[in-house]
Amino acid sequence: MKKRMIALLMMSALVFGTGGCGGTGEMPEPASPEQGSDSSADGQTEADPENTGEGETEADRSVLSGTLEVWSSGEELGRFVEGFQAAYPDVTVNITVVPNEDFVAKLTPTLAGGQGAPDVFTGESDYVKYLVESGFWDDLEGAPYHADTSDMWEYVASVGRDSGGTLRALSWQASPGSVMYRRDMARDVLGTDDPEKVAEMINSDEAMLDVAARLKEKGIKMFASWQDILNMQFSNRSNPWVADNRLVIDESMLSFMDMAKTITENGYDLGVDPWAPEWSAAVESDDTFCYVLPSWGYQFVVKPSADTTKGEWAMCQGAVPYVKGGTWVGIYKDSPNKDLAWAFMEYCCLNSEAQKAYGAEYGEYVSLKSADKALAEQDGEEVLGGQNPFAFYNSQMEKLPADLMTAYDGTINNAFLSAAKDYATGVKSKEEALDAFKADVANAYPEITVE
Amino acid sequence: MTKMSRRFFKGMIYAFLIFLLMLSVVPFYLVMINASHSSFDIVTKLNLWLGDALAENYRTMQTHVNIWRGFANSLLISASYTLLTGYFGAFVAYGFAKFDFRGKKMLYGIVLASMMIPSQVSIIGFYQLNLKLHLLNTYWPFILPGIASASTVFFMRGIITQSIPDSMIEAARVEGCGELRIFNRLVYPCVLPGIVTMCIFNFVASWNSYIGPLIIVSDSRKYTMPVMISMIKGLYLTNYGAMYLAIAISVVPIIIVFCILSKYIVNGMTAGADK
Repeated sequence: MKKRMIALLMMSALVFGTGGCGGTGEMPEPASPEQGSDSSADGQTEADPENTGEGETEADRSVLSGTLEVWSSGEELGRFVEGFQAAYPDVTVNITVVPNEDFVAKLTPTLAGGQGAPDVFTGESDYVKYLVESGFWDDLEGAPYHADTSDMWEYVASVGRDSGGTLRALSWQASPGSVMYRRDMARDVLGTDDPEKVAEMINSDEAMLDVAARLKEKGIKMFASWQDILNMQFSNRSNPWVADNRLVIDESMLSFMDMAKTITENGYDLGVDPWAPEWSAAVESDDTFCYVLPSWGYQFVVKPSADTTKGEWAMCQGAVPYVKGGTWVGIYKDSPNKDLAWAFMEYCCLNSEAQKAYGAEYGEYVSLKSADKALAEQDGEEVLGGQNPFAFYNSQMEKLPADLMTAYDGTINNAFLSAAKDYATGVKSKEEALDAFKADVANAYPEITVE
Repeated sequence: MTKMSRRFFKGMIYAFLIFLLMLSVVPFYLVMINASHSSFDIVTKLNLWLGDALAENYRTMQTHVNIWRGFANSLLISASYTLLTGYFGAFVAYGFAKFDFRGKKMLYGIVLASMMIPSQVSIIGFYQLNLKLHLLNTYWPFILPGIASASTVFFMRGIITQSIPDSMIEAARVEGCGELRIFNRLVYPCVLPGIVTMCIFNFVASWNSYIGPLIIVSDSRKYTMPVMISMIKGLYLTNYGAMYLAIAISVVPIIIVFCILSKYIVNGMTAGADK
């Protein structure tokens, strides 16, 4: 909570601060001409044959040289560096990883000052819309970039567009959602482990609760945590959190609160928060049926922990297809290295070959349709009993509803979860919980009208 | 009171003290033990004895960050900062405690007021200041404030007022001792226990400070321990084992500092000023 307060403070200070000290913000200092980081040294020796000789002309590459400063809220972006430097041997990429929860806190004063700002920086889904609207990212469809997003999943590109339709950010990843369930328990209780059939049994909120009741009879808890379901409900809304500067509480969010209460009262989940030790450990349990998590949930939660349950997992669609999370990346508007920055961004976000190699190596779902379709042709995952997650995610991406993200999502989601938790555990009535939620939003964002 | 009941009473006290000892030692013990277990073991069970994942945790940790680099960085900052607070804090406190000058009350009020402002509030100003002074990406912003540590001044002023009698300073002056020399040779040694206490606090605070180094330093090779530990965590991944190992490593200097300095606290307390 404290950190969030700081981040908020930073955000507001940034908004006011940039106007006040425009004099310092004009000329950003060129990236420090230090020798390459460790990763760059590796990259030059181990050229990846798959990533060289595609697309661009040789002349292009020899022209580009210099050092690119990249700030990233996660390590994933760094995985592209090796391949990139094989293609652009004279470019050094310095990636600074800043812990995600403090990313805005670090970025804000730097951007306000303008000096020492990175050429490229990322924005995680919780605050990406804030950065997209802030104007610190360059227009990627203008000169000198002329980004062509025709191969990118529409959802990913649409998040990168600001309210005026200008493209500010792209991503190398997409994070479509799934319900990841245990095949052995499904066979036992539901009579089938076929993803198609299981998906049919849980195709609405009510249906999910029915299945939960059936599992309960056998002593199995359906969910690791009901809070995970918000990932999915988030795509089930018809309104964004904030429209015309007004807080909108969508109908689906109210029914989510009731669902949370039902789950808690009936003991359909473990009764812990996501990322709690018990929550992570439930991958290997014999009494927890499913996680409602997007693609990163498979990659970072289920896959690394599955040991005795290898092959006993599968993914299917829940009540609605959904997408949640992801990290976008954009180019700082005053960067002195825009050519280098674009070369790097293009490599990560728009180079199908690079994404294919990346997706194959790390199992991460990528943002280009052509790369995902190629990856869907490969063999399935051992953990998923041979199911190919790319093929599943591709089918989900086709069905996604429009993007309803706002600049306020991270904070509002957390406030909403804590209100839903108070209601679910019986600490507050629904009205009291909603009032507390509204008060939290009003405190965090005085500019939003709350009724 | 019979012998039996006295013995029983003593036993109870010991049991209580042992309970308190466990309470404060067990968390440290668990951190050390968990550093040698895999992330999965840590989340699934309570580990009470060494595991076999120490080498693997070390590798995981080192692929994310160079922890020894961070260790050296933190040590450099914290040691310099602590030494500065120890000397200059007592120096300023001596001035406030034993000299009368115009505006003393107001100046002391300013010192106190500066303690009341939470550092989070001033962090943007702190960044801007260092930007203008061209001190970004250096350690000076964390070391130099050591000469103006308000809490040390506040604490030491109380100690100096209480434990240094005016007569002692006057006697030194009569003997022809200069003011600086009075402080260095007379006052400073007498209040050493207080200084050492403050040094422990300051060292721990500086060692653990996170948000300042995170914002001022952008070069990952200059990151301090807490920032590096936070980097090990990753965005979605939770490398508990590697984190525990890094935390275990970062706790060591604090324990060492405490072991060395606590000796001085005890020594100093038995040495009186007025002999």
